[in-house]
Amino acid sequence: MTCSKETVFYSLFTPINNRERYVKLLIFLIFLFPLGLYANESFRLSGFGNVAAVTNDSSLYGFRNDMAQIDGPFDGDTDVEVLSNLGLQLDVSLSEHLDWVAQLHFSGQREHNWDRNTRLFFLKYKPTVNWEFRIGRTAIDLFQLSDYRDIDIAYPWVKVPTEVYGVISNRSIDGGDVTYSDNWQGIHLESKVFAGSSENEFSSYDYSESTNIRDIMGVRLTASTLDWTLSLRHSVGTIDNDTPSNLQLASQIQQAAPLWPNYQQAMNNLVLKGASLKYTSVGGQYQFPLVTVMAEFNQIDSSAAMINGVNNGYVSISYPIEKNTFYFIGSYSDAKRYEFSDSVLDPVTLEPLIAAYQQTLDFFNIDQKTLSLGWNYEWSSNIAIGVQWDNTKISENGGALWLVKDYFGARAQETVNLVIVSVSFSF
Amino acid sequence: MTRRLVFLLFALTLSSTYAGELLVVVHKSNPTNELNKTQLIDLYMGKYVAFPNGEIAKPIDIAQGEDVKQVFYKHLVGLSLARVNAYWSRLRFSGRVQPPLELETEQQVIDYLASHHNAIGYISERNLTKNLKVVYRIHE
Repeated sequence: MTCSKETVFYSLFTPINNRERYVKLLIFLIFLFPLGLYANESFRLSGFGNVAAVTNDSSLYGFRNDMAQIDGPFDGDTDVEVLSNLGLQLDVSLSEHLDWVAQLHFSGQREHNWDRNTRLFFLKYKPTVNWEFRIGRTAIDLFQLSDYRDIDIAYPWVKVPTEVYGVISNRSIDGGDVTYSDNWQGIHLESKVFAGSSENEFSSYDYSESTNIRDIMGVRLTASTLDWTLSLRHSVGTIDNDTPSNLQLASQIQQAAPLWPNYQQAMNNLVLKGASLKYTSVGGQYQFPLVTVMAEFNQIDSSAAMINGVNNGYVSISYPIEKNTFYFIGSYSDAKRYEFSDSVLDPVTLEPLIAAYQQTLDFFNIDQKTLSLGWNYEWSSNIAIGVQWDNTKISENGGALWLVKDYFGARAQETVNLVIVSVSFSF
Repeated sequence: MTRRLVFLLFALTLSSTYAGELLVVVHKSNPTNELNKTQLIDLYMGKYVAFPNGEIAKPIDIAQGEDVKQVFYKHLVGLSLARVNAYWSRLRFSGRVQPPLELETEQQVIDYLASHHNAIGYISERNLTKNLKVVYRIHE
């Protein structure tokens, strides 16, 4: 029996069962620590991670961290996979102006492979202190926390607000970016433009699909001091493929054409390929003497009927006192729902098909509000413990961020409570 | 008993001297003669990692003796080491900026500064050598 190195490496992360996988990850991590001892100026190995347990009280809506996740806790279950993750990063300084960065990231995904697990893989050229050029795979910079959303130790919360970040599952972009930064009267100014392609995965309870997004172009403008930050972001892209489920549904609608006079429009509404995407974000942070306020407001728009415009945002107030930070987050997401208004000749016969059509066009219908209260404790300089309670009010048919076991079943209005306990670390 | 008290007082004095007078230093060939606090914050928090003449700088941290590091960052940005680490985790693991190179001891920092004219570090005053130049003083 022969085994390639790749097979051996990935066998560590094959989901035989969760406990076995985490034991293997832990052993892998322990073996990596001595490697850190060899770190020097031109070779630096580091990492981050989070172990979190989530309890959900809803039997209808299962919690997931983003729309790519296919499994999560329901009805009093406690899940340790949905928010736990581990990242390993290698920084190699090739010369005074040239660096190479690679990062592998492991989380509760269904499938592990080099492509999915490689979060960062880029060359960085910094000819002067003002200019920086990167080419390769970098963290996508759509919203305020997009490029560090999984680095749990970087923020006091146990997770980023799901209303804002749950809808975006892609973490990386393959392409390049240019950043120019300078100081002006004590204010650090930074502008970044980026371009490339990415993959956005989304799933329901029993299947998972993805779309490629090509021709992504974006810009970020940031002004900051140590006390405050203000940033604006705008990105556009084009969806590059249709999903198998949409194509299958379109085919079924075509077969029902004699009973559905407006079937062509319905089929067009299921087309994703060629549709434009726009992401706009304004966010900031202000450090008052006693509290830190952070806020962000975003809009996602598309020419695809399935993504009929999503507005979301959050406001967070945190109060640090010695090693403790107490915080509050209010977050929301509001989407325009597609209302079926076609006249069909035999509504009873077509009822299942119409339900599937409506459900598909509701796939990104996210209409909910969450109030979160939490506590973060600095165990040491690189270990933090957090506890958070989320109270989410989900509107009828507005629970697209959640897992639902019966895809075509009723999606009633509901209030869901989550309790999350986490330990985050870096090394 | 008196001897013990004297020794304790002496030890406390040494300790406060060590933590209370930190010098930010560069190699003597570095053209920078003085930095202000804002420039030092920019350098050590990854905002503008260059000397006033525009040359890219290499900030150095000390891994051992967290009290020295704690005093330095408390003075600089008023943050605990945990919050400094959180800040750097955000920049480092998003691939934006690398944190200062961390050397184990003050002696290693001094040796590194001696051979890298664009490096900058912090040491206690008693460890100042002739080939280093003080560009900022921290009195706590």
